Formats: sequence, structure tokens, C-alpha cells
Amino acid sequence: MSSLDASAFVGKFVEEARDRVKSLSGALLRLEQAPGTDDAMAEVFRQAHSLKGSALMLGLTDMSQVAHQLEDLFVVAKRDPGVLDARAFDLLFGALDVLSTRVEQLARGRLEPMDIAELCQRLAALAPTPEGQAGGVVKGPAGAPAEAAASSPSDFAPGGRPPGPRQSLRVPVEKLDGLANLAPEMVIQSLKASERHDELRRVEVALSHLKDRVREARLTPGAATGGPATPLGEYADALDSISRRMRDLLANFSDDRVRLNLITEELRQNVIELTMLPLSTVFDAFPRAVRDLARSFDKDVDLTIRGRETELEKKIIEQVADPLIHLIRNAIDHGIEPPGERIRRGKPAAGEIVISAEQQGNRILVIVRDDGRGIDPVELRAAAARHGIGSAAELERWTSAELLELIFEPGFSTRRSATDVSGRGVGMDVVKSVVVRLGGAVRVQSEPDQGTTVVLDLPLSLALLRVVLVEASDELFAIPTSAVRRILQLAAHRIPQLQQGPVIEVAGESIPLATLSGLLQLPPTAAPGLRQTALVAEAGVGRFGFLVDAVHEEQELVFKELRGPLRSQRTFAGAAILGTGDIVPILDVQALFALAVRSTAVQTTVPAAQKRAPVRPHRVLVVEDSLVAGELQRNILLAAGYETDIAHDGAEALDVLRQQEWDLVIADVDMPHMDGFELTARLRADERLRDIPVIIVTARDSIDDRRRGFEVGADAYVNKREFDQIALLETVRRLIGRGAEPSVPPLESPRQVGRTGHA
Amino acid sequence: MAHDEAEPPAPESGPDEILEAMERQREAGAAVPAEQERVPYLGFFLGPEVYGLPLLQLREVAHFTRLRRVPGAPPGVAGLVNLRGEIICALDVRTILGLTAQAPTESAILVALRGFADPLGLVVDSIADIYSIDPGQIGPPPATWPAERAACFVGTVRVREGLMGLLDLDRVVKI
Repeated sequence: MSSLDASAFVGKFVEEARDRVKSLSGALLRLEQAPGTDDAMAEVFRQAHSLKGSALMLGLTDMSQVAHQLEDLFVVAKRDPGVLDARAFDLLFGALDVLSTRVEQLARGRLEPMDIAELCQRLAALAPTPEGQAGGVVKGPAGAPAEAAASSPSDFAPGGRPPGPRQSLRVPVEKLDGLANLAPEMVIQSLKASERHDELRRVEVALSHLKDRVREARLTPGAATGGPATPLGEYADALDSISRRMRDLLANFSDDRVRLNLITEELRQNVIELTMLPLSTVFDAFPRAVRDLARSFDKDVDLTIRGRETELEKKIIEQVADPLIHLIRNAIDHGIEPPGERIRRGKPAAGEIVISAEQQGNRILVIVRDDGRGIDPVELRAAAARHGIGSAAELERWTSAELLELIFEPGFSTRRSATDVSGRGVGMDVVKSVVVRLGGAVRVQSEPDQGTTVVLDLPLSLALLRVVLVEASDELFAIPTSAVRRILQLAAHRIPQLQQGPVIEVAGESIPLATLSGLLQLPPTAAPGLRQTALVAEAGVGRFGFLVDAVHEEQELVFKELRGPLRSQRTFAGAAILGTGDIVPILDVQALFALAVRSTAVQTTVPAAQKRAPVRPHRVLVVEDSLVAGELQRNILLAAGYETDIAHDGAEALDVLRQQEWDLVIADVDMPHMDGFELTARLRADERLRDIPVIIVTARDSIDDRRRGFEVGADAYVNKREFDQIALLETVRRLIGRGAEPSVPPLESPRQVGRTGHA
Repeated sequence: MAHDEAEPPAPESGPDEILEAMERQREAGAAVPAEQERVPYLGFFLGPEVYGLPLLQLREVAHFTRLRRVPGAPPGVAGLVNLRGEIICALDVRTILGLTAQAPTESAILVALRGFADPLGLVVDSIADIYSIDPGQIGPPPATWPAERAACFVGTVRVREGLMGLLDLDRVVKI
């Protein structure tokens, strides 16, 4: 029976069961009004029996048990109608309600069984079977399905074969939290066990030494206390065997410890999984939503959903539902064209929306893709110009990706939508803020006429947080990796002080800099090293850098909120327990940013007259396809007071040089599309650009290359291998003069952290 | 402060002993039901002074290994303590009561509380004893105490170690 694919028959069963419950209800009403009515009694019996049979065939044991109890009760009632008192009728109608609730659940596709133990008990109490074997024997009329009869007794056995696909249990969150708290404790305990292991090993070594001594003593004639050698021999043997047992014990203990660690880790993982739900809990509402939206916007839409089994923490799923609906609405309203337009454009009449979810490491990507008209950069530019975001010329230089970012600006598209039907991105700022609050990110890609793809990059769990551990004033602090853009090493003596406080220059942006210990009002570190480490963090509204004493490793921690009187403070989002058992507070980057702004605000009250008149700094374009080399050169130039940007190959450099005014070009030789020699040659051939000096920087050092560089018109040639900033800067100075006021420190080995993108 | 000729607590009376004593007390209490309606209190020391809180509001007494300070926390918060995987917010009772501030010593003890929505604890110097208090003997806080401080107590009672201030925990944790 169990091999039967029950789901195919659920629909039929629902119809049948509805009728039977209705008949049962009618018959009971008749019985209540006229007790002992034989045909009503027979009707109840018959309906209950048939319902039991069908329910059993579909594996719906909860329903079959209730039906079985009804059946039993009426076997007794036939002989003794007295059992059917007023109380019994209340209970019977209650049982019918349960059955009908269950049928409606089935109709909605919920297969999980109901808890009917108490109901069955109470029904059974009404009709104690004469044989004293409650529910033991099914006294069905002849012709009852043999299987049904045979399998019913097991239905009553507690802990019998679980019906349906899977059972679930409601557990209060606090209980899960309690469980979650125990896991780290086990980790600590197993660390302690490791220490014990080391102690044991030392004891074993001592024992082994002792054993050797005794053995020596035994072999040295007359060395023993004059007595016979026999006892010494015995001691040696005893020591030998103790020593052996000790070794075995150590080996076993070592195994146990390893196993304990594995189990502990698995326990921790399992506890986290307890709070996870499949995305189907929100995805399954989408077909209906898409159907309704498509109808209301007069569009044809085919929806495909993938990855509905992907699991995420419940809290994240709950919060991500609204943003997803929003994205779907946007796709249908603004993305998918009306059928007529689609056909004219050679697309199928029905638009396609694909919603998918996939796990990548400890991230979940939820992707909403449509094949509609896409977002036109030309329109975005026009809208940006209307909003005064930049001049037409400036906006011309923005890449499509940069323009697309605009849809996340609050108010950007809402104002636009008042005048423009294709006001794409209404409320995208809200989508972004929800996702960012969850520690995620939103990315958008779009091709005009091809469609739009929005990716929600979410953490698997709010409980698990990837953090960078930093040290300030001898204490550890954690910063969520998702907020860290860069980690930089700075030469301490050269952090520039502008009027509004120290800054660093990263990716062409001046970023205010503060010390973490200063922001937290901790005592400053006694002796800051020659080199200091700065983290560049992104906090929604902006970026800022803060200096720390050291950056430790990146870790995944179990996030815990701060409670009690600490609830009201904002500096820390929470805390976590490290493997050592130490507690580390987790900084709230947003709050830290607010602190930084406040602390620099004090210093911005410098009278305006004291401020230096701005001088246009010399602008140097670095043409370099290697990220590291490019960054390095740019940082050196920035530190020397030049304004600078990077082009990634010769072709891009030519574009940029034609659009903006530049004073100097520093070009690599080996680059894709157009190399440094060709770039130089083209510059020299260009009427407007021919006077811009060019420095060639390359790893090549053959005389031929050098000669070729000068032949095409380079002004200087710097070897990458002996690359040092002084040589480079001297060459730059020789060609275009000094930079402005040194405003930035030299940055060394900039590196990206985690998955954070290009800053 | 009244502390008479209070004997300093025996250094050996660590949390374990106290817990055992508590257990005995509970058992004894169960065996002799409501004889005099006496209420058990845990007494602890802050400096030479003894304070008490109802045993019912005590969750656990533990030596704490490390107190993690939280920069910018309210003054009444001593820091965070890891109590077997749970992060307890440890309150600095000294500061809350307006006593002279003093950094917790090596031997400081965490008195974890029960009955509050959040996991809270008090940092105390050492445990004194368990007292069975007859509510009839509880008097008002001495008039010499500043009002602000007196507000943190339900009353005082004389015990062997001196005049024991009985904390009004609901007030103490509201900082």
C-alpha cells in the first residue's frame, strides 16, 4: 500500500471525504434529536468505516484513527445507546470538525498529520471495548478491505510508522537558543580536554623515564639496596605494563578527543540548521502573485522557479519576501513589454520571469531575471541629469554599471516615474536597505531589450556572521566582513592632517580617518608601530577609515544580541564567543560612522579664512591592466599630491584622455587591446594630445624595448623591477613639476577582503 | 555602615560550597514546610558590607574567568561574562549603589540572576552565606543612607556579619 503514489489521489479523496464528513454530521444531528435511530446509527458506522479505509490507503493515519474511533464507538453504541450522552455528542461533533479541518488542509496541499492523540483518547474513553483491547481488533463488517483491517492495529501503537512525507514539531525559539549556547561550551570543553591530553603525555614521558631508570638499576649488579634483584625485576615489569596501558590510554583519549571535536562541530551546524526553512515557503506564493500581477498589467508572463528547496534562516526568509514581490512587480510592470510590442520586437508574446536560488559557500543568491525591455543607460543618464546628479559631460563618462547603481538611490526613480511610464526601480532603495540590513547586497545587470537581472546576495544565516577581528587598545573587536571594503597598511608618520581631520585617499575618494580606540574612547595604544593598519568600511551613507592596532583573522561567529541595559547602546550590534571562550563585541559600522562624523565635526569648525585656496593639482593617468600595480602607482601619486585615475588598457586610456584634461600619462607596456607603445604612438599622432608627457613603466628591460619606447615618443622609461617610488616621483616631477600639498599617505599592498567588490 | 565585628568570610567558601549549602537549604526547606514563613536569602560581600538577595532570584553563583568590558556602556554595566556559552550582562552593583568604584578583583564572583527577561548578573566580591530571614525582622534602610541608594533596597536585616541590605533587584537592574 505504501508504494502507492498517494498524492495523485489526494484531490479525489478530498472530495469524497468532504461528502462523508457532511453525511456523518447529518446522521449525528438526527441521532442527537432522536437517540437510538437505527438507520442514522448505521449511516455513521458506514461513513466512518469507508472514510477510515480511504484514509488508510492514502497513508493518512491521523484521519483513519479518528474514523476508526468513531466506528468503534458506534459498535458499542449499537448495543448500548446509553454511551451516546450529551457529552459524547459534543465530542463527536468536535471530532467531525477535526476531520473537516484536516480535509481542508489536504486541499491546500498540507500533508503533515495532525496531532489527534488526545481526541482519540477521549473517544476511546467513551467506548471501552468489552474485550479490554482498546482498538485492538477491528470489528468491521464483512468485506472490509483486508489491508486496512490488518494495518489498523499498528496505527494505534505509539511511535508507529510515521505517516505522510515528514513530521514536524513546533519548538519555542528560546529552547533552540539554549541548545545553540551549549555547542560553543562543548568546544571550550574539548579545548580543555586537549590540555589534559598534553598533561597526560608529559606524565607518560615521566613514566617512561622512570621505567628506563629501573631497568638500568636492575642491570647494574649490586646497585640495588643490596637485596635480591627479583623485586626490582617485578617493579620493572609492572612499570612496563603501566607504561603500555598509559600509551594505549593516550591513544584512545586522543581518538576520543578528535571524535568529540567532530561531533561538536556537527552539533553546532545542526543547531543552526534547525532555524532554517526552505525558500519554497515564500517562492510558492509567487505563481499566484505573478498571475494576478500579469493580469492587472495586461501582460503575458511565464514564471519559472528554481531552487525552492534552498534553505535559509527563517528570519531572513521572512524579511526577504516583500523585496522579492517588489522585484517581481517591477519586472512585470516595467520590464516585460505588452504582448503586441514583444511580437514586434521578435520576442515570444509571453514574457519570461525566472526566480532562482542557489547556495554559494555561506551565501545564498536569489536571482530575479526577466527578458523584458531592460533598463536603458541613455534614459538613466537623462534622468540623472534631470536630478542634477551630474553634468551631461560627466554622466557621459559613467559606465552602464555605475548608471544602474542609480536606481538604488532614494527618490531617484520615484520622481522620475511621475513623468515617465518606464520609471524602473521604484522603491529599489527600500529593497536595497532591507537586504543590506540583513548583511547582504543587491546587484543589478541589464541590457536594453534583453532584460534585467537582480541578484540578492544574502547570508545563509543571521546567526552566523563573518567578521574581521581587529585589535585596538589591547582588546579584540569584530567588524562584519560585509562592511569592510579594504584593509590598508599606512606609514604612521605620514598620515596627512587636513583641516577636517586625517584622511586617506582610496580609489580617488578622500575618506575620513579616525582611530578605533579614539572613537570608542579607549586609552590609546602606548606605542603605535611605524606602520598602521586602516580598515575602510562602508556604512550605507558613506565610507570611512579607521585605524586599528592590528588586524587578526577573518572568522565565522555565532551572533548574539546584547541585552539588558546594553540594549540601548548603538556602538555594538552584538557580541560573539570566540573559540577560546572570550567574548568579542561586534561593531555596528553605521554607529561607528556616526561617531566618526561627530568627532571630525569638532574639527571642521576651523575658520574658513585659514583654509588654503584650492590649487588644481596635476592630473596623472595611470594606464595599467594589473590591479595591484595600478593601485600601487596610484597610491604613490596620490600621496605625492597628484590627482590620478587608472585606465585598464591603451584603448580605454585614449577615451579618457580625449574626454578629460590630463597632465601626464604613465603607461604599462603589456596590456590587452592596445599596448603602451601603441598608446604613446597614437598620442603623438593626436593633435590635441601630442604634448602630454608619457612615462613608460614596464618589466621589460631590453635595450630594444627602451629604444622603441623613445622612438614612439615616450619621455621617460622606468623599470618595474627596480621600481621604487622615489625614482618614479622624481621622473614625474621632472616632467610636470611637484604635486599639490601632500594629502595622502603612501599606501602599500592594498588588498581586498572577503567577497567585497571593487571599492 | 554597620558591619560590627563581622567575621570575614572564610576564603574557602567558594561557589561550590555555597551551592551545596543552597541545595541543603532547599532540601531542608522542602522537608519542613513553611514552618515560620522564613525566606532564604543569599548574602554577599561588597568590601566589608554584606548585601542580600532572595534565593528565588538566584540562578547561579560562578567564578568568572574573564570580564569583557563594553566601551560606551552605561556606568552600571561591568561588562560581559561568558557563562557556559551564554553571554551575561554583568552589573556593577557598587556603581549602581553609589559605593566607591573599584575594579573587580581576581576572585570576584558573578551572581547570575533569574526571573528577568535578559540574562543578567551581579559582580560581587565574595559570597557570605545563606540566611533564612523572617520577613517580620526586615526593617527600613537606615535614615543615614542617601535616598537614591535607599531606593535600591527593600529593607535591612541584622545578621551575624552586620546589617544586611536586602536588594530590590527590580530597581537595581533598571539602570
